[in-house]
Amino acid sequence: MLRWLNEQKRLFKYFNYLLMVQIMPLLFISSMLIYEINPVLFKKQMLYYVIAFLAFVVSCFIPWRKILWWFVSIFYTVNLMLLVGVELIGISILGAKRWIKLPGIGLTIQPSEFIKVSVIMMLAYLISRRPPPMRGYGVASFIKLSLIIVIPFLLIAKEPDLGTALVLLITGFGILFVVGVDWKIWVFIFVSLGLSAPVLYNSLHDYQKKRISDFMGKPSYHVQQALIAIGSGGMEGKSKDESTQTQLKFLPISTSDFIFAYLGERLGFKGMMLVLGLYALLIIHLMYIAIWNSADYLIMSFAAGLAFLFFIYMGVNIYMIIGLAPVVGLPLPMFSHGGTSFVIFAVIFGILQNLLAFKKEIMYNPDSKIVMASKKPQKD
Amino acid sequence: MRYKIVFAIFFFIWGIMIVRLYHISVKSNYYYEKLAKENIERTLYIKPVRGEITDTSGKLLAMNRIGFSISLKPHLDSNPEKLEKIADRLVDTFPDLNKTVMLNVYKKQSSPYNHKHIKVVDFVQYKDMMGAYPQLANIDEVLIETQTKRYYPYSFYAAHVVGYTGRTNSKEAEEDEVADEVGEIGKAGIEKYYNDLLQGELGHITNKVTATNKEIEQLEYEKPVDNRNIELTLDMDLQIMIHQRMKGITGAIVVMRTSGEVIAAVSTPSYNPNLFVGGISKDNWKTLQEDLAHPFTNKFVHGTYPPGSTIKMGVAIAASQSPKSSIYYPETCRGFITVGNSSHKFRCWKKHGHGKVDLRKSIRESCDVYYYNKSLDMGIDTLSSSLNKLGLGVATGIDLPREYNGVIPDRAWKMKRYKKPWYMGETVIAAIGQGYDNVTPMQVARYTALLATSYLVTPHFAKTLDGKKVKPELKPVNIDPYALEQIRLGMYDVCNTNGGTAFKTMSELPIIVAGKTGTSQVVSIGQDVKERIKEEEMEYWKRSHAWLTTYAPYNNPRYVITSLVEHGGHGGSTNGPIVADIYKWMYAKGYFGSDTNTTETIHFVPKAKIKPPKNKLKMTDFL
Repeated sequence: MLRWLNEQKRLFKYFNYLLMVQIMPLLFISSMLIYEINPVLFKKQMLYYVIAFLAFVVSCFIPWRKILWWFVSIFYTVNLMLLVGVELIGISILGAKRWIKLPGIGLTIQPSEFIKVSVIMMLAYLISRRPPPMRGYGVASFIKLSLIIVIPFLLIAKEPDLGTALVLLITGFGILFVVGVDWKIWVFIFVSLGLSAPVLYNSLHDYQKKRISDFMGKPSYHVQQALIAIGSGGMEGKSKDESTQTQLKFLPISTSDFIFAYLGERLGFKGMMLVLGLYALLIIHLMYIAIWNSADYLIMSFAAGLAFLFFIYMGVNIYMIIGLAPVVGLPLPMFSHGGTSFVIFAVIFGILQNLLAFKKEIMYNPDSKIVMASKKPQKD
Repeated sequence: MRYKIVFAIFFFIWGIMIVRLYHISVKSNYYYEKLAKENIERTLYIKPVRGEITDTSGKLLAMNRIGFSISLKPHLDSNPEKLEKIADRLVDTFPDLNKTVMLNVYKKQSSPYNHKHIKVVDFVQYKDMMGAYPQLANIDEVLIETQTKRYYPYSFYAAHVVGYTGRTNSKEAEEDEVADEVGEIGKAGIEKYYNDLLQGELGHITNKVTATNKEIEQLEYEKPVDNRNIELTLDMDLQIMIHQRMKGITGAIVVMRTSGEVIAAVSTPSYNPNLFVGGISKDNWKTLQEDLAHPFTNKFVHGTYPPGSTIKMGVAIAASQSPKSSIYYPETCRGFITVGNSSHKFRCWKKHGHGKVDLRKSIRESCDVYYYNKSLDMGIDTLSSSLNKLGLGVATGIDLPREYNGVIPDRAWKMKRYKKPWYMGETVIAAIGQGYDNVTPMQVARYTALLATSYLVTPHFAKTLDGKKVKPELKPVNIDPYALEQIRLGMYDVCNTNGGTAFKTMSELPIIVAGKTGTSQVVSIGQDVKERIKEEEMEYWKRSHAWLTTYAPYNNPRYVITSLVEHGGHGGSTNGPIVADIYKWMYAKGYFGSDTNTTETIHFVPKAKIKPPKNKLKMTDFL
């Protein structure tokens, strides 16, 4: 017990405080906006913060490096089974089967949220177990790793929840790209994707096609209202009472998917740049964590995965609000009102902090600097 | 390298994002600010109350009946059973309603974005609603609002004057914002001519609203400008009396003050304008359209007829104004003339001729040959332009929509219309009001007033518009005094001397009337016909139109009565009794006041001895 406590001291020593400090202003602005739109949702959001904090602390203290070898396969398998379960006994809402009702407690869960963690975890584990050679992964390993991503992708895409599915796909392959895959494979993939694009389009659902064609034509009512909100905010933004687009409910789902539009209306171009800057710094920081820890594939995969997650969520969310992408229903990460997504991000942050604290080299080699120095030049 | 690619992609995507955000929020700020304002401002128009129309004594000719409209809550079609139930309930209460129509109206207007109540019943009368109100008002989905509906209490008695309102069509809605909002617009008669005044101007309330159309605060309020009434010069009692007298007769009668105020204008048969309010049914429309007596045609401004002999006074004035002709020389009537080398005989109505005819006699006996010769002397263009100046063949300017001009032909008109030159024979025909000549009864009334007073007036129905008095328009016309005197004497003779064409009926009246009859042929009479068949023996559609235009009292003209009976045969015998009855009625009602003249008190014999101006005349002009 004492030894355990002693070990946990490392956590405080190697904890990346900057990362946590970077998130704070985002949470502050987000909760302020939610409070202005709906104080009841603000209270709920505060509860989510508490839950997320607890989840974060717990995941910080879980010795991931020790349990990963058995935990990751169980976690991944359970999540896959849940996804299959959605297919079999899921609840359909607005034409999309995404939820499972847990018997007894009457709670519905969305397995596609959890699969993101398990895919990142699985990839990180497999990569750390068999790191890529100098030239990057060959075809055989690439296909093996791709299956980890593609199987849940197909299951989610079939629900259909193309937004989440694409997030998973891009995050997964983003990690693989950063870790290293033979460039010829990428060339092959892009060429064949380009050639098969028309076929892929035809396999989409009608409502997905409609979204795409809507996006090509005039902006939908939702997007139009979002544009008006952002456009009327101007450089400085407007006071709460003057933010009529949101306060008088012209802007739809203003606390969750479209919260960025309220940000534009309330705090103007400056406010949007501030939030955008915060995201950019966070993403860049995460990428640099990956770069700095390129010897430790677990950290590298997790940090890069988290960076990609943030990037795709915020990119797609803002692009759809400003009419540059179809409306796919992705929230602004750790900013939109909502529990599940927020808690999962907190958990991923916790895992990352834990991994950072218990770096392999430090644990097993007292003179870690030598080990690191000897490995570092291998990477570009 | 790999990280550089990743960062390049990141920054590229962020770059586009920033440029786009800058464009929306800073560059297009003004545009989106405007859209945001449009979002929250909802303007509700306040419909003005349409002005009412009364006759000269204040009798309501067009009024707004108060009743109710029934609207249903929006978004009910997601629950068809409930909608059906409510519709059934309404049909139970008001058996006249059509359930299918109601449901169709509802479905047509219902949409997820329509948060307003949907009107399914336009109008329910006050008395019908009284019993049903307590029950219907309890149904949550039903909204009952007050609603006005145009109503014409005198129905067909004033239809051709007052006109009617109907539903605004899409073209009218585009041109007229008020009519668009109110959904009703004047379609005919006074209702159309003075529509802008009657319908008033919209008021509005501008509210700040939420996305679900909930009002938050009032930003602006402006009252409508409405209740602008019109008083007409019409005397409804006279109008009704004439209508009843004209029962079964197709034609038009205009009773006008010599100042231009029309006190009765009747076109028979008439129609019920109430059928048009809120849209006429197909069956009713078909019946109106297919009636050969054309009840829907307003015959006093839209009916054009050859003026027949009533034109002769005008031709005489034209002759007096032309240097090539003279009214100081009598003509000799042998019963016909021929023109040029043609053997075609232009006959006088009197087979054996009138002998020597001067102006007064030519009017009293309506000698055709006299006018044949005068017209040949002056030529058609002179004749035509003079007649136009007397108000024939030109619109009178009356306050009714789309008045017809009629035709008094000249060379240019014929060339344009038929691409043919003018023939001398046509001049002759035009001089007795036949051929191409076509005038409306209103034109003849106006022209008669001119003969009586030497003023050309603008006939009008409006006495006051929104409380402001309408000033009569009088235009003096310079007419040779000798000609005018002889014409008036001739017209006096027509009604007051034995042998005058309207003597029988007009001479018995308590006032002295002067006038002229006219018989305008519908079919021409063949050259080989020696004896004309009597009008009564002809087929109805071939019978001539009968005119009688009069003014009274003779020495102080105050009223003009012009009467036209379609296919009525001879002017005097058909119209005489009708016009006489009108004068009798007016006399009895005190229209002539103390100003009545009996035969004993009038001294009409002309004292003026006007010598023909010799220097102007050369005998060659008449050869």
